[in-house]
Amino acid sequence: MSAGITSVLAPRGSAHEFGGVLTPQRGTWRETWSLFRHDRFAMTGLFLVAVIGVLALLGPLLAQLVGHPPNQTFDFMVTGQGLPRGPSASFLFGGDQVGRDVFVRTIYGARTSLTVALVAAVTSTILGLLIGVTAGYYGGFVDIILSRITDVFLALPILLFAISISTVASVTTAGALDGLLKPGIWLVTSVIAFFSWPYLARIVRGQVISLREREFIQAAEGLGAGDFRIMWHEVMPNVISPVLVYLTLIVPSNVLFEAALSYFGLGVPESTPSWGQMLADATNNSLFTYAWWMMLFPGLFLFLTMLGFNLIGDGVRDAFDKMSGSAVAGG
Amino acid sequence: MARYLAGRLLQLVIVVLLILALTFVIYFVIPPVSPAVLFAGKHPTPQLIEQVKQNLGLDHPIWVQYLLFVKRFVFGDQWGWPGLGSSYVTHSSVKSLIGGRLVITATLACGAALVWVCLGIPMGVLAALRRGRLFDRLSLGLSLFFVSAPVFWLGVMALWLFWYKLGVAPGSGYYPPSQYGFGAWVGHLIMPWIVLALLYAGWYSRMSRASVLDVLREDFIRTARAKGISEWRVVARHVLRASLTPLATMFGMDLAGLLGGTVIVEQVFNLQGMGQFAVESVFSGDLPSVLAVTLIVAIGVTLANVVVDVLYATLDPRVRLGR
Repeated sequence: MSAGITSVLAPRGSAHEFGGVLTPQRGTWRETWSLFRHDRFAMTGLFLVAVIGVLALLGPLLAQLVGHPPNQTFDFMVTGQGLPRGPSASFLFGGDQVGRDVFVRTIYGARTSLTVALVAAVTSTILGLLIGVTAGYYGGFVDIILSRITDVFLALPILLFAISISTVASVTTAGALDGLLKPGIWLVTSVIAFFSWPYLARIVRGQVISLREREFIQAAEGLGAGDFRIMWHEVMPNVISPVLVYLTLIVPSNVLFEAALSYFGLGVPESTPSWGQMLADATNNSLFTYAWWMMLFPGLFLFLTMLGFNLIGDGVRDAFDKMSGSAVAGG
Repeated sequence: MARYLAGRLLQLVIVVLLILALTFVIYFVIPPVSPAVLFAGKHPTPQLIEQVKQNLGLDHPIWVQYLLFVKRFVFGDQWGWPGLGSSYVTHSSVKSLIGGRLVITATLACGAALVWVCLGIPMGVLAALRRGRLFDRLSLGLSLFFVSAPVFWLGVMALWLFWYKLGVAPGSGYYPPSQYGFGAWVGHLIMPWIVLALLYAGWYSRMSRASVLDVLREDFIRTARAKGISEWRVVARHVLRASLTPLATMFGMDLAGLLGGTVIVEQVFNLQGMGQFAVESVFSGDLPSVLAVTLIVAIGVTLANVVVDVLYATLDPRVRLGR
């Protein structure tokens, strides 16, 4: 996990935990799910994530219900001295330094956080799979080049590089690379995805190298199947379990990454509420010493999201471990 | 061993060149404006831009620019070695700006490392030995909390509670020992150390627990027990040694990774380390400084990884002989 935010980000250390995961045989998915379902902690995690997900989906509806759009400022929520007012019946989580509703912004923060984390996770999974499978399958020179590049990315101080990219791409509003990298939510998402694929690539490469020697791959080759067919039909189904484990680790790490970038003011733009940005507002001028609600609520949501995903991750890993353990024990 | 070392050094050279290439692409190819405009600060004069263009060799083709960039870094420039260029915002060489800040970041990282090793590993080992009991559950819960709590939230909450509400800890800021004495220096670092360490303590406790549980299942532990030696000696002599060696490699890499991982804690506790320098430079438009910090940290981490690998290879002959 850690690496940079990286090091501060969880996936770094956790790569070690992937190790012994074997792919469950066909038909054991149901049993894996049943193991997961009977894991109280994992189900608590699923429940937490589901609640936050539903709140995020209902965001605009909730905002309408309380009548406070996320970016509207309410002058009466700021005192004469310019200090925000605390929680009340209509402002459940209080107001912020310019009089916006912290409750509505926290819920909208969930939308930002989950969107960025999930889209980045899917993107980096595709990247990691492509690079890992290619390196492991072809071996030789291709493998050397791809593996070295993977090593470099693993050693990078990710947060600093992410800060660099966000900065150079935000020099003009038109964005960099002919508008491909425009400041905003997509820039954040692609920066996060761009720096989180190496963990998966390394694990998938290892698995593919050992799969490469197995009889069913040789059989497919012998039957005249092409490289793409073998990679897609024979190799891919066998790397699904490491991919799932990776997803459960990378999603909370992405949530944290987005929050950190936004905390530094390099994440999503001002107009998009984000937990990191809200926490930065609370830290500014030590405002939190007075307006504790500005720090407590966004932070709590961030924490619960992380906790939920981490619990799910533990459950998924345990279930796969038990399945592979029983497969080995049963011969 | 010589062969292993040579191979490892060659890899190091390639990796450093790749890091330089990636940094070059980010700062010289991706930006929508000329790098000279980017580097010259927020409100540059045309003369300054022209001068920066000269300094960076921007009138050459792109690949020559890259070679010049590598040459400046590897062989140094007019501001010394390694060539980190000069800041057009503060009008001084970036190298002189970084020195003292590197010390603060290193202090922060080493102190935190001490805390997480002393906290995380005993917690994990004890939990494994007491598997399923109350302590195990408590430590699992705690480590889950540490791993899930974002550093900037934990930091601000700690400041609010221990400094503002309870008044038992000093506030943020860095107090150099030469100026304020040892007590003030340590006092102001305790909270940052602990906050930074908790995340790692969580991971190390989880990993050492898993690792000890694995080792406890091994045959040689059964043999040791069968010999009739006391349970305490089984743990001290056999279990710990076998289960903590893998953590040693990780420790080296994590410590090195912390060079770039202290950014958030530095920001929350207002410590003038490398990370805070990078963030401040972003906002003052001082791009040469951001580039320099990024490059120094990336190469520092890579170097540290090589040192860890070589140490590991001396400890464990299987590594240098190739799997």
